[in-house]
Amino acid sequence: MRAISCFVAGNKVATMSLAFLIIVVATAVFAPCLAPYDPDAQDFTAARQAPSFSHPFGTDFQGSDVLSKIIYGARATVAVAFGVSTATVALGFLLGILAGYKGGLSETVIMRVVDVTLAFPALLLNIILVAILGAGFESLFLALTLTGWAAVARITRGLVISLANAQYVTSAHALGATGTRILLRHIVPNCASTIVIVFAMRAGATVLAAAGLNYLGLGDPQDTNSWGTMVNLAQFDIVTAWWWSLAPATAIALTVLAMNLIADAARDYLDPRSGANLAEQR
Amino acid sequence: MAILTFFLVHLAPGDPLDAYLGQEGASAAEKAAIRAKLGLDKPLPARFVNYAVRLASGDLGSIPGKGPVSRILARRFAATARLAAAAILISIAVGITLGLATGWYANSRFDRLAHVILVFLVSAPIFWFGLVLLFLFAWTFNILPAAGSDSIAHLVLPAITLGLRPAALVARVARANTIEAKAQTYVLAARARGVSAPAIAFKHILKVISIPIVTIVGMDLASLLSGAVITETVFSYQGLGQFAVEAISNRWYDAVMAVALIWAVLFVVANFVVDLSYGFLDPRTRRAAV
Repeated sequence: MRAISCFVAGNKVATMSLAFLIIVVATAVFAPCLAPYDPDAQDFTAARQAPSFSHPFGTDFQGSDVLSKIIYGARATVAVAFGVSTATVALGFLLGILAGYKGGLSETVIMRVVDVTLAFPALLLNIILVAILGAGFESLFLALTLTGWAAVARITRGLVISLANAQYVTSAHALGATGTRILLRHIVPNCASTIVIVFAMRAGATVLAAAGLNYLGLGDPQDTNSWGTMVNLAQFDIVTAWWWSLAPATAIALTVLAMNLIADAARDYLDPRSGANLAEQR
Repeated sequence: MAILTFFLVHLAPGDPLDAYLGQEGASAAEKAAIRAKLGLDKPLPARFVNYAVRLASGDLGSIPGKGPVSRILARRFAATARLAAAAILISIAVGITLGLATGWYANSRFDRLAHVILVFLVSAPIFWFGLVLLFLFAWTFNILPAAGSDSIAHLVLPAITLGLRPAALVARVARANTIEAKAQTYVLAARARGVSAPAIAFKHILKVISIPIVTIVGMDLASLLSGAVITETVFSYQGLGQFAVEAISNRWYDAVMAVALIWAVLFVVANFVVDLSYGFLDPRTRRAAV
């Protein structure tokens, strides 16, 4: 907790980003209290109204309030960001440790799969997976997890290999520590700071990937309130109702921006070496 | 010598994805696609052998009611190649300029502002740029066409849309390497001789940072195609990415396979070109092989 407050205090950009993300999460949790209108209420006499005091972000083709839809849409974004990032980081971390620490056949197999996954355009892979699994939140979740873990596994493996060769690990080995003990006592704790950064990075990447799929109409069902899906429905009305597509698209952009700025700041804070060029003149 | 270079660069640590793995990727993706789409009426191995035999004779299959895949694919591929090439050019030009400037004036107010902008460029969804550009230039100012893929003018907005994110990556890499290069003695020597900052940047530093830039562009190729899918959809650009989405949603199995195959081949070729370019950009890698 003190680490967080210390980290936040030193960095204005990170503070603002964190505050923004807290607002997004709070919006998702308290959506029913915050939304000025029912997001699914239809009023065709009020369709495609420009932003005004009663509808700050205008209305969509059914006359629903865009602001209310965005407030409810925060729920889908937060769910995907936390759910998928947790799953990808957990899976990637476990497989990365397995590959980096055990080596041998398991390493070969895991790293080949990683290479293949990373070489192929993630979006196409996701589209194929969603096509196989059928559209819906579960398939979106599964597809993003199956394509997202590879990057985490690669980072973890590199980290574990470098840690396993560190002097203190050799010493522990010489003192008779078992492999499991070294792994749990020495290697895993030293991965923690990297995992925090990776989690923040994956959260941003996940929200973007989900938005891309939803934008193509391949993720959440069309009637769910999610930001990407709104843009998908609204894109052809960009001339007549620009607010309807640009408001949710900007919400995605700002959320991912906040996540990436936090990831950047966390990297500088937790691992000053990698941010050497920033730190050297500070 | 060329072969030696090739192997050396391949064995060197920190190399971008190994080209040969791309080839394996093709078969894995093929298998995934096959496994998913087929297997209801015919056993999987039989289908695969069947396909492999057809493929070996140069037959990519066909789309019901639309003719052979190869003909459609050739046209779509050319369109996406144009788009990707234009986007890469934009990203390199913008990225190098920004990277040199921010690296030279590191930690200035300009650098810090540019940093947030660069993070925004990698954060905003591609369709955000697409829609904003579309709204501004195609509708509000009415300068450029909104949709289609027939002329150079049709290429401008999609290429900018697609090029902005890689531009930020290039700028980031260029910045880090510029800071490193600026501290070298030859830069100090050039400054002492009174060479102007832009001249040093574009003559001396550019040479040094070209290799990491080529590496990052090569590594980013997979994401570039992901971006092309979105970009092509925003601008109704008749390219490979849009075709892939169309093929998958229409369950044109042969077409999906062909796109995956083309991608794998392209990836191998691109990695090969990146490897070869090292020898061209930095003669030392050529000599090191001897």
